[in-house]
Amino acid sequence: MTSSDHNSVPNDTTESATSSTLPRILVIDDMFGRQVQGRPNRERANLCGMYGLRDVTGDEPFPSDEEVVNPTAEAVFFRGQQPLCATVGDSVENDLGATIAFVRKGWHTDANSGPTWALVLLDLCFYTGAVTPDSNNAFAGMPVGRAGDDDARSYFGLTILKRLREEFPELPVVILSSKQREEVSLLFTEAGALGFISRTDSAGRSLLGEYLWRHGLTPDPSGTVVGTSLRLLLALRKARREAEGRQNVLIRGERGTGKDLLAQYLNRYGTLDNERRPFVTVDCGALLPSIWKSELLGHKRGAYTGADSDRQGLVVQANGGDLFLDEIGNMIPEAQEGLLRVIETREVVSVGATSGRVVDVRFIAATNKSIEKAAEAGTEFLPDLLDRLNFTKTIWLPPLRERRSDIPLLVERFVREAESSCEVAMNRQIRPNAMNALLAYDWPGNIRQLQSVVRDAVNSHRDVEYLVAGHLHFGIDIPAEAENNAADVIPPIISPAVDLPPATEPVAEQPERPLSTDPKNLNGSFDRLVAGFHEQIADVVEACLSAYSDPLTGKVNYTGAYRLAVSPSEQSSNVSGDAKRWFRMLFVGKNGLVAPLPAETVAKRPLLMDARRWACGSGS
Amino acid sequence: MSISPQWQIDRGQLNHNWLQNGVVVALNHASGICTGTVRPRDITRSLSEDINRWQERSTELSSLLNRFVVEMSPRIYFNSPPLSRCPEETRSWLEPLTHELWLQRGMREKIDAAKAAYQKADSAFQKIYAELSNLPSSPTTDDLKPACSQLQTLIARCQALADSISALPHRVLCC
Repeated sequence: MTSSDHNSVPNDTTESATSSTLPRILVIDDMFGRQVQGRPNRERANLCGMYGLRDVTGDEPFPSDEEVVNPTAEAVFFRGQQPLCATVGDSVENDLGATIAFVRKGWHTDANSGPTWALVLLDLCFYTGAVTPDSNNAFAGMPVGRAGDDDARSYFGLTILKRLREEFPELPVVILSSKQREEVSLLFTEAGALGFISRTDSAGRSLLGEYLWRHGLTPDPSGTVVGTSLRLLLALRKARREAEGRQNVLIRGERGTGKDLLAQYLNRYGTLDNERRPFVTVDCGALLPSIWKSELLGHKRGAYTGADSDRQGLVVQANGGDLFLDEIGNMIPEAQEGLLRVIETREVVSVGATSGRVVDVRFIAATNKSIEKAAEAGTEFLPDLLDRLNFTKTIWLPPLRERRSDIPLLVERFVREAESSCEVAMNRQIRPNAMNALLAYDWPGNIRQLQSVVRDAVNSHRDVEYLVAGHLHFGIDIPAEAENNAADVIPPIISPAVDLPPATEPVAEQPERPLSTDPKNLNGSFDRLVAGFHEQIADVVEACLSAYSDPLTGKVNYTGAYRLAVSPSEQSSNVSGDAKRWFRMLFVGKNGLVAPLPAETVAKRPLLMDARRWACGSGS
Repeated sequence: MSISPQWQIDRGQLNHNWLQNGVVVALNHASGICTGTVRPRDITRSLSEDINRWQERSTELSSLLNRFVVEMSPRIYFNSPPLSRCPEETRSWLEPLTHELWLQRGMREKIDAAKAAYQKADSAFQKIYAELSNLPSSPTTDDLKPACSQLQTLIARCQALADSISALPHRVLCC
């Protein structure tokens, strides 16, 4: 038996490189995931045909002699056992460690820059034991099986499932099994699977499509909403779920996060049938008192001076589809009343009309304001309309700083757009120092600001082949709206110092000295060592803060300083939260296990004093 | 008290691996060929491969069903201690009584249902073999339509067969 190294994948599979927009799923199954020597895995090919899967595992020695038409997804297969490719005489054993390692390879981690799993299809019963000539003749590489393999109480698939729920709680898992659903329903539900597809169900292909729509972590195939970060994919999935049944939706998020693009996404993909429906946008702030009725509700010919013909209002134009109310917090109260009537009655009465027209419209509203506060004040927002909106589903779009792994994709998109809109701009490469600067910044203006910075960089440097850090001008831009959660908003942009030496250098530069064993030298040596260590930590942190200080204003980008000081593998997707916690730990310690920097060490350094005030509050 | 004999291991191989994961999945693949969602280079060869899977081990499956009454009956406990120490005059009536009681507690119906399901599946395969032998060498979608509807019937019968075999006990039970 081949021993397994749980930190690597033995008999490594090589996935085919694809640039497909299809979602990528992982199928963990002993029979369909096994590698077969010398001939195609016919069982796997049949399964792919049945479920509309394009096999991209990359372990097939022969090119496929058939095509799956309109595939539902790309599929990578994994056996879950050792060895992946078994022959007569081998003993096949379940390998949980290798399975988890394989899942991790395709999940949202810093080490993975490729496609990530949209969903996992997991078998329940895995056969183990010796591969005999008879069992090999029946199915190449399959063992005879052991008595306990078929015992529902010890299905290996359930063991895998429980580990997946622990380690990858956001990863959607659906059972794919030939067992009868009633026998295993409670088992897989308690273990955390989201659903069950019977392997013998002829409608399996459409069922898989439904599961992908409802549970899959899939990017926008049209490319309208750019990004593959876990935060964004979770938001897209929530959006699809909340919008199911064409219910009204409220999209919330900071300015510049792409709420309008998410509305377009909902219009396109917000129902399972993917039918194209009308999509009409209303700039709520542009509905002036003199025009809102005509714009929103339409008018009849002769309704007022200048109404020379009938005009359909925006609501009627959206009939059968979606009306996107952008920045609904900016809508004037009279228009809010008119809108409220339409939402409640589902009827539009045009200006000058004697009767109404029934409409079937889904209202998608978006705001970055706290409309609750405006409603409380009673003057800017109708409480009744707020109630109507609060009864709908709410989707929060994450700010860009919480989905930094999407920045490279967005930058690439915006660079190419800027180049194509400027005829004389050269095609350019984005240098690492530029990308690092873009990744380190916190983007209070989010995607719109990123687009502006990139466009400015391209337009200002049309005749060069490279985009470098020096081309980027972030500017000073403090968010105007208090609803951007001021407590977490990082002070404005400061260009990062890209030539800062690594933080480990100050430590590495200390000359190595042989340790003296003379008691006179050792007396009190530990305390002196700790004190020196604290001084060195303070020096390093101060240097990182200095690198992210604006020389003109003195404002400090604490998240940037944190990202400079702490290795990427220690950083999570919530960098701004991490930064605050990390600085707080420096100054107050942690659970009695991590000692804080001594007060006298901090007091000597103004940058550290400011950082402590920021992290721990102004009273500290 | 329970034993997990070879029959149970063979059932896993034949019912779970071959019938459900092999035959039924292949039939669904064939259905995909007929409806155009799968496009093989050689339609006739692919269809034949899928549907001929039944012939690979159907005889073994039939034999497995015939073996059930002998190999999964609780009378096999009399072959090992402590029941093997039972005096012959007691064993002569107790052993067949045990077996008969076991059969009467639903086992006879279950194995008969499984055998009937096997016959239905097998006869459906014979029909579709005849249908396939009449196909032209490069069949069109219209040519495949009769086979399409027969495939659905076949898939349903194979699934019913698999379900009936799954319904048989997983251990030799004491009655």
